[in-house]
Formats: sequence, structure tokens, C-alpha cells
Amino acid sequence: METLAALATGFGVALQPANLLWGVVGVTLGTAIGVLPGVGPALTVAMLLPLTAKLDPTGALILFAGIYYGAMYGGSTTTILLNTPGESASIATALEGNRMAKRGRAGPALATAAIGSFVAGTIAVVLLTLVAPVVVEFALKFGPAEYFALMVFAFVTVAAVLGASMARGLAMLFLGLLLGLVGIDDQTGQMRFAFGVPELMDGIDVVVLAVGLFAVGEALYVAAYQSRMGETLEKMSGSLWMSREDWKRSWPAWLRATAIGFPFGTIPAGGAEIPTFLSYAAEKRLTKRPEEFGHGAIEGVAGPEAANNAASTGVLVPLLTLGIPTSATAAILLAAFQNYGLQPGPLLFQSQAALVWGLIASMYVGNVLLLVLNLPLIGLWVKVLAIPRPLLYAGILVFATLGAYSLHQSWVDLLTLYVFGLAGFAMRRWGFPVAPAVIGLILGPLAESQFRRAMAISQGDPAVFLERPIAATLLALTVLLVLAPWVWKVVRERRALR
Amino acid sequence: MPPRGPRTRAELALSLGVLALGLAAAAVAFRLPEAAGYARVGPNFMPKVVAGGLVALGAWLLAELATGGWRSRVDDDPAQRGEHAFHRGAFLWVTAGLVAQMALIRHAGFVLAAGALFACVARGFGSARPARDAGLGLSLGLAVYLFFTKFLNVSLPAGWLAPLLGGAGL
Amino acid sequence: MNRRRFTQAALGALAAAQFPGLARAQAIANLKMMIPANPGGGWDQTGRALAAAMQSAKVAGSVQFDNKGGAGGTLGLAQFINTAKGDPNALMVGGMVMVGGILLNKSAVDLSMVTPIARLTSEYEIVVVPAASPHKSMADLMNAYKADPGKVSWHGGSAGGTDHILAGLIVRAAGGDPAKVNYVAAKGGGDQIANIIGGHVTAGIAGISEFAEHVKGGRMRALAVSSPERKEGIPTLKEQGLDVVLGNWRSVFGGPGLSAAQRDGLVGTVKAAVDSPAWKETLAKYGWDSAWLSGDAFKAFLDEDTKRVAAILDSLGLRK
Repeated sequence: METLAALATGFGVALQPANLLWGVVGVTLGTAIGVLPGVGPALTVAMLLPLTAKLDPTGALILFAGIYYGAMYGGSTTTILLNTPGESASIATALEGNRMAKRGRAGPALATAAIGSFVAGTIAVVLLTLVAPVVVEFALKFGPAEYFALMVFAFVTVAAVLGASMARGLAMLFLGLLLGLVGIDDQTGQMRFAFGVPELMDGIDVVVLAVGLFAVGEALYVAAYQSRMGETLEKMSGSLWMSREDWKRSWPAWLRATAIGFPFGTIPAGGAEIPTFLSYAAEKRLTKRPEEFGHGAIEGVAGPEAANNAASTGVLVPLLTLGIPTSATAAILLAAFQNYGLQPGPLLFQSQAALVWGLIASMYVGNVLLLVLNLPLIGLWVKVLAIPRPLLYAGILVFATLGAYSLHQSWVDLLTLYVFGLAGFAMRRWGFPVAPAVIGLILGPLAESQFRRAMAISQGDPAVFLERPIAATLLALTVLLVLAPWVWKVVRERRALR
Repeated sequence: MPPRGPRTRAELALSLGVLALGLAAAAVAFRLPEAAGYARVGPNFMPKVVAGGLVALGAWLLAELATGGWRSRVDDDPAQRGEHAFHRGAFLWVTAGLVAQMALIRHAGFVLAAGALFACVARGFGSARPARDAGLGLSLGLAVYLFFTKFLNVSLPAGWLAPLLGGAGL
Repeated sequence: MNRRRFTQAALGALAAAQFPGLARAQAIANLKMMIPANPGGGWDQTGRALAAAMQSAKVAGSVQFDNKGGAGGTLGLAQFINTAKGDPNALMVGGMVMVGGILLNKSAVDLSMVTPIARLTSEYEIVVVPAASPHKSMADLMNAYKADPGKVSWHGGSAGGTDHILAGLIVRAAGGDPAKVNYVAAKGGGDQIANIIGGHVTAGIAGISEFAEHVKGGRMRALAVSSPERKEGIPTLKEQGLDVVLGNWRSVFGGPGLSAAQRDGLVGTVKAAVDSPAWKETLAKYGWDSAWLSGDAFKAFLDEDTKRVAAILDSLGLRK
């Protein structure tokens, strides 16, 4: 009850005309930068931090939170339309989202992404309001051993995206793992697979790999095999809006994804990429139309997009309750708090109740604003696909290279992008799935460093993974997940015999 | 007897490629120091695992090839999807655009490099109006350049156009 | 090239007309500021704040920033060496992290190739334990270390960084072997804080400002700071019998091949900025300590610190 009263006060703050205006500015700006690859919300907020000298804290934080949310929305738009995921958390969306656009269903894809983000964002903010203090105590129980167990669980779960051929899927997964090894080893400072190239020392950026494999690879492929075929693929067909069927398939995916994304966001090293892929894998396993996956299944867009937004809200739980920033944007938001001499933490809820609840209320408002802003834009966005193909692909490549170049301001990253483009071309031509390589690059380094951290703390005793209850539970779940289909099959065969 | 043809040859090359990548990775991995410390697992552990995996998968793909071709649950041959033979000119134009951008971006600047990339790629996709394409590319490049440098305060190389574009920053 | 120079000269004249104070030799009409890191971090803040202070002190006209991050700042350093040769209008931000980065990455370029101008700030380090830890002082922690070095896990930033170096220096000062430090590197600040608060590691090391609020909030216990004087009432390492002072310093450099006069001009320009109220505000805002040291004195310090960092990286077994 106390919470509700506080929240009501918060709405009073968020709905003040000035703050509402900052919210609108924030989500609009966020959407714009989300659409551009190479600029993420972290960079934008960092650049706008000097504003804190001029604005009052509530207004500034509402503005920044709006940018944070807006960028998530904007990112999905370019991902679906142009196959250029600007951020790692949008990569999973590209898998089905761009296929849908190719089949003339860009409208429903954008709609399910926008509404799914709204639903997930809103539910996640409700959870943030109600359970933040409880959740965060649980999240702190995650140490290196627990994270490693979680990574193993994720690896096994996302095996579902390995594609048509086991051998080729695994080959791509290992290629991703190999790329993940490039650069400085964070535990010992040892240089691995960088061959003295300074641009490789910080490792390979997952966005360069994804954009190279997806966008550049596709541009090369379409140019080489389809550019003389005329416009047959991207005609708009069907409705701009989601059909009843689309709604029926999206709802459960949104809810499942929220359940996956929010807890992942709250744990300090969870991040937003892994839940998007877990959600994709879950949808692929649970769908009644597995044949559509790989050709534009709407669940494959609805799930990852909702998971992304739920996780981004989850990230605010450790930030607001403990002052622990768990993503780049959260770190900058923390800096914004500190510019005002505010330190997030349990005390903040008491000492600055109006500010905190105003911020939380502004997220409810922000989600509504984003929906209102984005739904009418869908009609405009899909017109992008009506651009003649030569110009469309030329534009895609300008944006794709921009994202890679802005990493180190170096042509070497453009070369890396092109090499991945060639790889993507070959993979398309010869039926290698693309997603496992990206997953290997994201999960591999995390799994390796958490494993070695856990082993260092236990002084080389692997029993640590079984002695700690959460880690052991996760590993047991993983074993169950592997064995269950097989056991199920045996049981069914037995029954059939009887 | 598996069917001979360009497809099998490419599959052979790609299988050998995976195998070779694994062997090359192994060569690097075995030269990395142990440096395991208290963890008993050093920076060379994961590279060895990955290299081993790639070698095994290369061998697996070769074995599939030797016993009737790569296994596949769905057919994914572009030829059967009704796609044309490889169109070399288009492929080379797109490549040329990307290479031109790499060469130009530092010295000629982002805007000119974007224009060159745009014009080449459009040409590769069959556009017959190079002047219009270059103009569109330059405008797009300029718009992005101005947004980054003037609004976000993030530098992109101005290059030869520096006198026209002025300094960065608000 | 010619056209560009002409334009620059023209713009320079224009700027000089706009800023009467710029007529003096050391004022810079068009400052070029290389920041060898991506926007948002400590070097970026330093570079942009310094440029703003130079503008407010009327010793700089327009400023062009060049962010080039990666490989501990060595990517930006390499480019600065190539593009700023003999250019008295160019500055680059750098610091202790770059010294370590050069040594660890076996970089082909190093700081002897550029002209040291001035050390600007220093951020000191803090050693903490989880609130529930039995260790109440550095002595407790070092006793535990002496009993079983492997059991004491030190959690800080990337291997070979400032935090790792401090762990090595502390252990050496206590008479231990730095190679025996069980150092567990964290990737991001949030991850590290959570591992310490959650009690997954024995001790944590970071810049004071990163942990200060968690110490105040009672979730971490501060054992020591690495500054020469106490900070926020936390005892120094020195007064606990460990003779270590370590600050993560940040500085500016000029291009290669500057004449003595050009260098002194730049020192004067930067000094004018550092004396401005704008810079003092910046220090207060970010919680940085001023650590002004310029010209030859800074160069001597740089050589000394490079040797000290190299020695400790060797004894940590990080440089082979």
C-alpha cells in the first residue's frame, strides 16, 4: 500500500508538463539514435551528461531513461528492416525479423516488436516497483561459479538455433568461440590470436561480426545471385497491422520473454543478449509451426524484443537498490545521479522518494509514449523497403560500415567487417547457420572468464560448481534439459508397446 | 558414389577449411603459455578446447562428404531455390565499394568515402545512374557526418572536405 | 594540402581577431585534442574538461576532439605520433593506464616518442573487504595472506591494470611474493562491486570514488587508501606499515619533435587552464585530486613510474 501511495506521488511528478516534455524529448531522441548504428544509448547519455548542470535531477533522469528505452525501440526498427543490428541485444531479433520483412510482413514484425516491448517494459516496471529489494538480495548470491553454470545452461538451451545440420551448426558455434578468444585474456593479460594487430587487442566486437555476417554477407549474396532478378522479394503483401493470428502467437511469447528477461537483467553480470537468445530458443522449441522458423516466424520477433526490454528494465534493479551499474548505460546513468550528489541505494528510496518514484512512474509513461510514437511510424518505416534495391543496399552498407568504423576510427575494422561479410556470403551459399557464430562470440568469453574466476577462487577445485546450491541446481536443470526429450521418447515408445 | 560437381568441390574445400582453421588455431594455442596460477586453468586451455573442436568438426564434415555428401534436414541449394549462377560483376562492384571506403576514409574523409561506397554498391545492384547515386551517397554521408560531429560531438574524419565542414563540436 | 593550410591560417587569423587574448604566442586558435579512448570514460572526461577550461581561460579558440579508443590507449597514441609531429596545436590525454598498456601489449609506440607536458590529476585507490569479512585492518588481511596466499582472492580491474599493480605492491611491501597473488580480474565495475558485496571474493581494489558510497552504505568495509594522506577518514597503507603510494594519474602530452620553446608554450597554456575556476569545478565534480607536475619534473616522474610499473608487472609474472 505504501508502495502504491509512493507511486501515485511519482505519477504526480512524472506527469508535470515539464517532466512529460523531457520524457517525450528523451524517447524521440532515443528512437533516433537507436535507428543509427554506431551510436548507442550509453554514448548519447554520456554526451548529454553536461546537461545535468542546467536541469533539475528529475527532469534529467527522466530524459536519460527515455533515451535508454527509446534506443531499444529504435534498434529493433533497423534490425528488422535493414538486417543491421546496431546493438548486441537486437541480434536475436534479426534472425526472424528481417525474414518477415523480406516476406512483406515488415508491418506486423515492427508492430509485435513495439507492442511486445511495451508489454514487457510495463510488466518489468511493475516488477521493479514491487519486488526490487527482494530480487536484488537473490541476485547478489550469483558469483563466478553460478554464472558459469548459467552459461552452460544457456549454451545447451540455444543449441536449438544450430540450424538444419548439426555438424555445420557446431562448426559455426566453434568459429564464434574462436573469434571470442581474440584479444587480451582478461585474467592474465596474455595476448591471444591478435597477431600484433592493435585493433584486435580489445577483441572482436559482436556487432561487427553480426553486421558483417548479416548485412554485408547478405549484400554480397543478393548482388551476386539475385540482383538481376527484378523486384520480387520485398513487395508489401498482406496487412500493415497484426492479424488476429499474429496476436494469438505473440501474446505468449511476450509473457514468456518477460519472465526470462527481467530476472536476467537483475543479476549483475546477466546483460540483455543472453535472454534474447534464450527467448528465441524457447519460442523455437515451443512453437506449433517450427517450419516457419528461419523464414519469418512472428514468435521469433515477439520473444527476443520483449526479452530485451524486460532485461533493460531489470538492469535498473541493482542500479536503484544498490548503486551497482550492470550495463554501459547503467554506468552512465549512475554518473548522472552522482553529478547531482545522489547515490542510488536503499537510502535513496527514503531520502529522494519523489525523484525515485518520479523516475519509475516516468518509465510507465515512457512506455506509453514510445508506443504512441512508434505505432503510427510503422507505416512510414515500411516505406523504406520500397526504396529501389540498389539504393537500399548502398544505404545499408553506409550504415553498416559506420557502425564498424566508429569503434576505433580505423580502417582495420572495415576490413574485419568485409572479411566477416565474405564469411557470411559463403555461409549463406553453403547452408551454414549464422546465429551460432554470434552466440559463440557472446557466450564464449563470458563462460571462459567466469569458469576461470571460479576456479581461481576455489584454488583449482572443480567441486565448487557442485557444492554451491544455485550452481548445482542450474547444472542439474541443464542435464534434465538434455535428457528430457530422450527420456520422453523412451517412455512414449514403452507406452505404445503396451 | 557421391555426385561430382561444383557443389561437392565447394563442400570439400569448406570441410578442409574448417579442419585447417582448427589446426592453425591449435598451432597458436600450443604456443600460448600455461600461466594457470591458482585456477589450474590458464589462458591456453580454452584455445585448445576450441581448436580441438574445430579439428573434430572438420573431420566430421569430411566424413559426411565421403559417405554421400553433407547431411541436411532441409534442402538449401540456391540452384534449387531458383537462383541464378554467380554474377561476378555485381560481387566485384560491391567489394570495390567496400575497399574504396577503407582506402579513402582516413584521408579523403567520411563523406567522400561514403559517396564512393554508395555509388559502387548501387552500380553492383544494377543501377545505371552513377551521378545520381554518387550525389545521394554524398548527401547521406554528409547528413550522418553532421549528426555525429555537430550533435553528438563524436569525431569522424573530415578529410579533404575539412575546410568546408569546419571543426567538430558544438 | 596547401589549400588546407591556407584555410587554417585564415581561420587562425579570424579566431585571433575574435579572442584578443590569443595574440600571445602560447594561445591556440585551433586546438586538436586526441583522446585515446571512446567517449564517456576518464580520459574523455579529462580531455573535454581540460579543453573547456582552456576555452574559459581564453587560451584556446575552437577545439577539435578525436576519440580513438582501444588497446590501452596505444591505438590513439600511434595515430597521435603520426599526425601531430612538430604540431604545437595538438594535445593528447594519457596516463598511468597507458604506461601499463604499452608494457603489456608490447606496443611498437611508447610515451618517449611524444612530448610530456603536464600531469593533471590523480585518483587514489581503495582496498575493501565485504561487510561480513573477518578482516578489520590491512594487518588482518596480510596475516591471512601469509597463512595461505591462495586463499586470499583480490578482485580488481583487468590483469596488469592499476588495481592489479597495487595488489602486487602491497604484497611486496609486506614481504610477500607478488607472483603468489591470487588476482581475479573483473570486467566491469558493476560486476566487481556485486562480487565483493556478495562475499564471493576476499578483498576488492578500485578507485576510491567507485567504492566510496558502498563503504558509506555499510556493504563494504574500507581497509586502506593508497594516497599519501587519509581520505574520508580511511587510514593510508603507509600508516599501516605498508610503504605504498599509488595514484591513477592522468596527464597531457604534446606531439613528437616539439622545440623547447613550443613545449614551454604548451605548458603555460595548460597551466592557465588548470588555474581557472572552471577546472577547479571539474575536479570537485569528479572527485579528482590535482596533481600538477610539468615539463622536466613530469618527464622524470614518467620515467620513474614506467620503471616501477615494469618491475611490478615482471614480478607479477605478466610480462614475458
